[in-house]
Amino acid sequence: MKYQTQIDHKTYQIEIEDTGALSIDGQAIAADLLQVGPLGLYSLLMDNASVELVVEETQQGYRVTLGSRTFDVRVADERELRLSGGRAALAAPTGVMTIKAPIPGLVVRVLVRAGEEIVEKQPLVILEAMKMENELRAPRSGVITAVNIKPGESVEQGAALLVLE
Amino acid sequence: MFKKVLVANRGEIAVRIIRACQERGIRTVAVFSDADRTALHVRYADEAYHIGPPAARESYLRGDKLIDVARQAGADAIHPGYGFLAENAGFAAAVRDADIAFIGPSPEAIEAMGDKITARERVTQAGVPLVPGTPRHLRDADLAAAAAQLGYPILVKASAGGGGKGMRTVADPADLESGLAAARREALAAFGDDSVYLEKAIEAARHVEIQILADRHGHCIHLGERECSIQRRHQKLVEECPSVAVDAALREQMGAVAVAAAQAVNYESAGTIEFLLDKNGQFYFLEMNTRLQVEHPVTELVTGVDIVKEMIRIADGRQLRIRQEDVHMKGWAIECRITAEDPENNFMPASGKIVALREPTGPGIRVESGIYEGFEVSLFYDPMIAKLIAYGETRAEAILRMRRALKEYRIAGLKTSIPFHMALMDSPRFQWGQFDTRFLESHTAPPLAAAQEHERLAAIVAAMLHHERGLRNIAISHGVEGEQGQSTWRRSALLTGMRALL
Repeated sequence: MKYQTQIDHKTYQIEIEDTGALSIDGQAIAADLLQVGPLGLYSLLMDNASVELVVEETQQGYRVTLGSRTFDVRVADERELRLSGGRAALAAPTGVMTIKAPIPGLVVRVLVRAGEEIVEKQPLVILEAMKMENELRAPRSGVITAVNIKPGESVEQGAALLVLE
Repeated sequence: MFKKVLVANRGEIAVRIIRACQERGIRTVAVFSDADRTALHVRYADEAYHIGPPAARESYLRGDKLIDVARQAGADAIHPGYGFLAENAGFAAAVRDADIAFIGPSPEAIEAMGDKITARERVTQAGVPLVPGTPRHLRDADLAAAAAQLGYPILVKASAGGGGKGMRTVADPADLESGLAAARREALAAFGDDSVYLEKAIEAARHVEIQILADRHGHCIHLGERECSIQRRHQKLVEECPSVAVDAALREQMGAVAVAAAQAVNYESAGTIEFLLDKNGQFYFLEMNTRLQVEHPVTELVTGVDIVKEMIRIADGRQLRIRQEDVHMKGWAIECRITAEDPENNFMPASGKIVALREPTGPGIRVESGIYEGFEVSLFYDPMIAKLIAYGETRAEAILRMRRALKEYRIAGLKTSIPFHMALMDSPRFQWGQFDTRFLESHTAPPLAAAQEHERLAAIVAAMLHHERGLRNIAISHGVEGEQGQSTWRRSALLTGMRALL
């Protein structure tokens, strides 16, 4: 079975055969994965290198924490890849996207205007919470179609701040 | 000695104080908001009382409720911890008026040190050096003249200020006018008062503070210094004891000045005098924190003094057990503040459930934590969820132990500052002790540890689990179910065999 996995913008081709043999980007590796704790704690032996990691299932795929870093991994299998007609099944999300407040806070500055074209990681809004100013950045490139907030306004967690298309 | 102490705080510091009380055989009373019913401090204390909704101003900041609970529970003392009401002179006075002991300084000392101007006046009289600066409420023309006399670069600060608001560095006389205008604007918006003053900017300064202990019988000692220069926007991230920049002679000098500053306000209990230390060994008084500090454990490890227990003894009216000549510093300790913040996204506060947790242990490691597996980290309170402290014979050993412990630390469910600390411990400049308070600005966050290999592993694991899930779905639809709790990955060969038949 072939899988395509994606982390941020990087994709890996992984093949797992019926025998359990595994390869990544054509390179064969010996991997043994066992759950060792109740809350998604796994022990991985990869070519005898011992790694402990935590895996949570998310809506988009898997959230893997190892070495105290967290990776959001999306996985598509052969069938999903076929259905997408050979195009990358894991392309960055497109379409209308609402940018929500990840934390409750005070809007200090709004750095974009409706109609403005923005690029990924561009700062959009400065939110003040717990005495600190926090910069919200664009999750992807696109055009801002709506700005629902003004400086000086308090917002709850999850409030729709901007709409990106 | 006190029979029962109410801990007017939450999180790791409440746990720390409860532990000190228990070691002294004192019963403990915890208080909790709706968000903290299952928090560790509630579970470790002998008694716990609900004090209101999650928002701090309706719970942990309600001095009246806290005093009511103390009366109801029959507590004879209150320890405020840090933050919340710890430096609120009104609360300390109300506790005293309720005939309950306040484990901390007197309301008068809190008030004198809480007001920057009064604090500066009081300590100058005791011979404590201040950063050269101007009085407040001067007009721009007078400020310009004063700036020329002080010498550039200078710092423009808001009179009513705090937290870096209304603060500007001006390096060139030509920029003074616009700098003053901007600072006044910010100060007016933030504090409703546009008055500013000037201070000489101390370049390449370190933030070094002295821990002091004072009883009410006129004894005051210091427990050496802490180095707290690793800061982000004036928030400390890493502290150590001792400091690479302080030798025995300078320690003695700074210690004596710190003791003089504390005595200037008849200080009692544990307290900290913060200094700026420049590269020539000149130091200047910044402020006094009239409470227990977050970073007190590094001093405890190096001096062997349990500061929280000393605070309790002092509040009970006892004399200090130790004299200055009994204080010996041995080894090196480093503390990393573990916060629920995403270091890869500008330290954005993170919230969520801790789905997996394993804290490091082993030689030289101390963990002060307020979390457990299943704990919900909310955005109502400070993002610091734990402190990791490493002790070693030398600074190098402490760093190596910290690295090892950070690697052992498992927190899953939300982002934490652990990757930042790992990168910092690997940074050669940090390892060589070559840093000042602008280290993180000038080095725009040390590059986070190379994650290439980890990313590859994450990709493999996700694919393996996805594969397994696919097989499991097939197996379940055919009545073959795995034993509960056991990974089905091992059986995948068997299952794939079956799948081939489909």
